[in-house]
Amino acid sequence: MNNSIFKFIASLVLLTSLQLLSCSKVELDYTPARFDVAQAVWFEGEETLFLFWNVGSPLGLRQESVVEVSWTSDDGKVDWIAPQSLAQVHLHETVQCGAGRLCGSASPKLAREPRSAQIRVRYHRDGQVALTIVPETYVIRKGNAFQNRSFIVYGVFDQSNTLIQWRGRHVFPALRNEDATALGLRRRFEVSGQTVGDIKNLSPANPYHYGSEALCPQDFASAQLDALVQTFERAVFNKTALLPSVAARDSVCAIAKVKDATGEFSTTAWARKNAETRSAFETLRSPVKTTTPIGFLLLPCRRTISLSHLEMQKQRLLLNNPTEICTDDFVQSNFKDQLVGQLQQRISDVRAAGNDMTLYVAVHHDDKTGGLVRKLEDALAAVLPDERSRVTPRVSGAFVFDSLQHIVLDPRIKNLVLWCPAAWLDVSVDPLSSPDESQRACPVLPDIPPLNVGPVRFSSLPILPSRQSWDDFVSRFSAANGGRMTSLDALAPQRTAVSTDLPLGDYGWVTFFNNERVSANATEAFSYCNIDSNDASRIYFRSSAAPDKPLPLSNLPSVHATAALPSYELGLAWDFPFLLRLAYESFVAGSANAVVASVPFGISFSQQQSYGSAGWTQQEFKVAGSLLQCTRFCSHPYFDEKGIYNVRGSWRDNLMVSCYRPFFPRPSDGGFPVDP
Amino acid sequence: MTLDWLAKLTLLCLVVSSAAHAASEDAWVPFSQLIERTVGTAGKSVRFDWRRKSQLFFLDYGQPVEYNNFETERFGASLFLPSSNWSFGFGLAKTFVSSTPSSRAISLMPYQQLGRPERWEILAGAFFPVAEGVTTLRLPILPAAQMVFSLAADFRYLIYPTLYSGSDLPGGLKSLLKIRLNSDELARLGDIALPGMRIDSGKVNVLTGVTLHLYTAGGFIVNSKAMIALGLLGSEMPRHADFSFGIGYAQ
Repeated sequence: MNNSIFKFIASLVLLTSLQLLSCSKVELDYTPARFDVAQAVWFEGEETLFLFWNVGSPLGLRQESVVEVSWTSDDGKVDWIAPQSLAQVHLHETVQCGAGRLCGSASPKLAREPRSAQIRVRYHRDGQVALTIVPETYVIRKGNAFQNRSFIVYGVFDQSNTLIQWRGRHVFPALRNEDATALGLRRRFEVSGQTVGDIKNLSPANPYHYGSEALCPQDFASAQLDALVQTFERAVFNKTALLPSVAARDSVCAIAKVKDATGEFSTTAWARKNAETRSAFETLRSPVKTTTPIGFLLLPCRRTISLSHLEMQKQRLLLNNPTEICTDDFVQSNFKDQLVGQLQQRISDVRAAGNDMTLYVAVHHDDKTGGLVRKLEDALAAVLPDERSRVTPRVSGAFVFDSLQHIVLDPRIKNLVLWCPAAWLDVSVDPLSSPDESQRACPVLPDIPPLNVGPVRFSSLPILPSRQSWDDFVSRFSAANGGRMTSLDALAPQRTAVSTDLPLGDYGWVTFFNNERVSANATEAFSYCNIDSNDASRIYFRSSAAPDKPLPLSNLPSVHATAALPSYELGLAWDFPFLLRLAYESFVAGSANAVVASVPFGISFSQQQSYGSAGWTQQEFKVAGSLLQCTRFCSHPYFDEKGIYNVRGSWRDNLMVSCYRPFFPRPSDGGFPVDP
Repeated sequence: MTLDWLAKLTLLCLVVSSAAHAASEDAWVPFSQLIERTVGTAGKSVRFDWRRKSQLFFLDYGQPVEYNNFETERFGASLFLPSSNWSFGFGLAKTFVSSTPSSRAISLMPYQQLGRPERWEILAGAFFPVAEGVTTLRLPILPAAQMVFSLAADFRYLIYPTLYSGSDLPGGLKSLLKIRLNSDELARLGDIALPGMRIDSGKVNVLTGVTLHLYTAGGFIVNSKAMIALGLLGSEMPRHADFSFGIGYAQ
């Protein structure tokens, strides 16, 4: 019994195995053809029927497949015939459109309008099975040359604006210029009788100006260029360049001849020069120098608050023999005036050295009412705004190192004073409003957050701490681990006698340093591009029409296009008058709690920090590349980065806020330029 | 006399040991089957010991039955190195492909059928004898022969010379390392493909099947093969049969 079951299973396995090895027949793949292009275009004026086709199939047509055409007109019916067998008006090259595809074009002569046309592909030249379709059929009546002919001629200039490339362009209702080329159509054209002058009566409907007149204008002079240029390709360069004596003329007119079924057609073709451009302004220079520090120390003279903290404040500002101002009587009404007087006295003394200055003010106090710092703010407000707009030597601003956290609210000085430690993390400050420089400059948080690992504690102190932070730190660790300022300097731009500051809303100021100007006449135009320069966004301009209203440089092209002015002054925008650079040593301080004692230790790190406007690290601001100035032929078409001739656009109108990076035609480019 | 006695004793031992072994598998095995099985398992060449030869040369004519409408024939030569178990070898074949009335009819219509154009094939193969013995032929003038029935496997790499004409050495080697034709290669092969043929993109043909070798005493071999192409390794061709017949010589 078991043996029988085993044999039965073995038989099943054997049969299944044989089934797996069974063979099957190869099926037939249905691969119907499909026309991607099938067009018939008849030009009445040329008496020519243009035929275009591009056909393929999912698995590809074979070499044995053939395309045939047929049409009917009032002259009779042309039965199915291979287009290659027809007498062609134009040259048609055999072209490849990809594996398994058939494509091409034909141009039989046809004097009368086609009433019907058909195109088919026979799958094999020996078979009768075919896909037949009615192509898109267009009829173009007689009319003007630029709209009613299948080919127009125009010229473009190379980069030097002296060498002309004459180009032909296929014009079909539903087929692009380059597609007609790709389908094998080649047109011979020739250009002769080149003359030079200034073009007139441009029509928007005829941007190439082709055939605008039968002959070139009589006031045009001989251009002394090639007597005859001709090609079967789509473009050909003159061999001779224009003479410098006609550099001011904007166009060249020539007689272009093209062939059609009726013979030769000749009319005028035009080449318009490219816009001539240069950088409107190369570099905005603003010498930046290290300012001379003027140190002040405000402290109570009749009592001591914290010697340790006082020494730390003096060390942080590197105050060497500062002017000490006693604050014991700060509540008196004339305290502010005394303060102003002492500030001005020192400033006046140092100004004689001829260098810009920055005030370094250490405020050692414990006045939590805010009265003392308000009077200091008032005193600074009485001194700094006037100083800011003075000629070098002048005071660029102030750096105040307070004992308590503070926020500068006085609008007169909040863009002129760095006040540390800042209190912008205070909840009373609107968290949605961005803090200005004086507030965001000096964070009160330590560089490294506190860390406890068992009995060992690590912490660090900001280099500009409040007294409370300082005292807390020293009680846990030691004053020696609180850090040390190693250098401190402020950089500020040098102003000239003609420097002018204009407010720039909430941001800051624009300074016009030294009469940096762009001159232009009414026919000229500008183009703004900020790709090549990171500085462009900081450059502003003003015009004589609105001398108190600085505008971004990007607005200059449109301002000049609207109301052309003879010059525009360039200035630099800034949000803080100086850059404070700090170099210091900070410590990661640790303390290990033993049974009876705490042992402090520290690991030092050298660090650098900059507060204020980072822009004052550079002395030159690149304008070149950001602002182009067109000096001639500004209303002419232009080439783009791809080398495409934007014939309907004009440099003046289209490139106000677009980058102009043209790719000009070159004689080495060959006879088929990019011309979609 | 002594030798005869010794031979009988040896045979008896074999029979008894086989019977004992068989007894553990089947309850009862006829003595005649036991004798046949013992002789067959020994696998010793009786008429011609082809395993002692160093090479086996074959010339084959084959006909892959691809189940499409194209006619395919193959002529090949191969060299095998015999051994007691698996014998390995390699060879070269030229495969001719031609149209038929049916394939020509297909080409006149919007249809195509999978196929492979004319080509060369590099062969790597192996066979493993599973049955063998002396056989006598019906024609009395022919001598008895050693018949070997084997399981076989072939690995054939298809070479289309058109693809390598004009290509540089690195490009050719790179192409050789691929087991499928890319679209560019398929397009180039389109020029040599027969009308109505859609070219199989596979460049490798894996086959398995059986071979039958008849060895004469003089070392001449009659060879026949019946294989199944498995359609593996990128080939789009469905499984199909591949028969071949040839002659050879053992040296």
